[in-house]
Amino acid sequence: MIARPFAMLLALAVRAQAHGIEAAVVAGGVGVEARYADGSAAAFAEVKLYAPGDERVFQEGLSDREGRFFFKPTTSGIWRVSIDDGMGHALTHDIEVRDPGFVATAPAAPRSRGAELLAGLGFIWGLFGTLAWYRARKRG
Amino acid sequence: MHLSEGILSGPVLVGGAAFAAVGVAAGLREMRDEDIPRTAVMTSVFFVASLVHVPIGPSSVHLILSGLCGILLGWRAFPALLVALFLQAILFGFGGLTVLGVNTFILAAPAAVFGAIARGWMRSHPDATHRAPLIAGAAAALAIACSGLLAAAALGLSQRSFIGAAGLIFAAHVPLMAVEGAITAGIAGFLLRVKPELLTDGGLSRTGPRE
Repeated sequence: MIARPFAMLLALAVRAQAHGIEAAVVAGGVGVEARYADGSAAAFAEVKLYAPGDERVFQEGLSDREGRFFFKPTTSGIWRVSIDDGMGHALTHDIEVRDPGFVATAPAAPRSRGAELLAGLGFIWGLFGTLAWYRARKRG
Repeated sequence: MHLSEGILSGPVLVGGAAFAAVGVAAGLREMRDEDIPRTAVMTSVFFVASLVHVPIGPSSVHLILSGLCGILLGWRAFPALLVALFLQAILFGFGGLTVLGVNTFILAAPAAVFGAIARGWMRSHPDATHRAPLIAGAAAALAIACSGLLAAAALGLSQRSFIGAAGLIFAAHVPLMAVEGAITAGIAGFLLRVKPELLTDGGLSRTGPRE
């Protein structure tokens, strides 16, 4: 599973209030996008977030339909995100927050697998070819 | 179906690797010289199949084709899948090297077992060519289901929720079972017409040790 952090752009400031809880929309946060190695989103995977130097869970929840998870860091340092889809795919990802306003981001780049594919097929050909050659030599 | 690194407990990793090693040894022992090209081709097919996405509804699944490997290779599916999974791990980032043994066993064991059952049935019913693809497809679907069960068991043995994992894996793989069953049935039907000995007699059907 691959996870890449990205900065949240902007959110409109809207206030809503009901029964004593007041909500304010906060701008500026960090998003993490979890994808499987094949590029599909790790949707609704369990996500746990740990603040720098703190073993306790800071935030816990599920990734969204697009495999994303957002949070707003309170201190600088290495924030740790662990993502687990519950069926055998998991990943721990560190996000460096230099100050609560700046995050080193790494947008996911679409990858072409052509070279890897050729390399793998060549490896298989070579491996079984060598086996056949070895067997033939041993017998002859 | 590729379990990630860092999830399974040590004993599960070691046990999976040991079971996989037994299967690989059995597969290599049964591999005669004339089986090598077929094993190489199926290794390539399995390696590439993981990149083939079949859209189903809003999402998509990628092919595994372990059942087809089992039907055509028998125990030789173990070395074939080991090589292909190794390449998928280092080249595509699917699974990983420490879980290579577990992943090989999870996929190859059901493939070899249901493959042997399907081959046995086709050998004893040489005239039932219209039903043979159905049997091959069912074997492929059951191999996927059984692999899912083994994956859930590996997670359960690593202090995780077996029931939870089994439910999630099963839900994710039901469409795949149908797709793999249909594709395997189609390929089996094609092979029965053009090269039936691949599925029935000759070649791999005699599973004794290599002379």
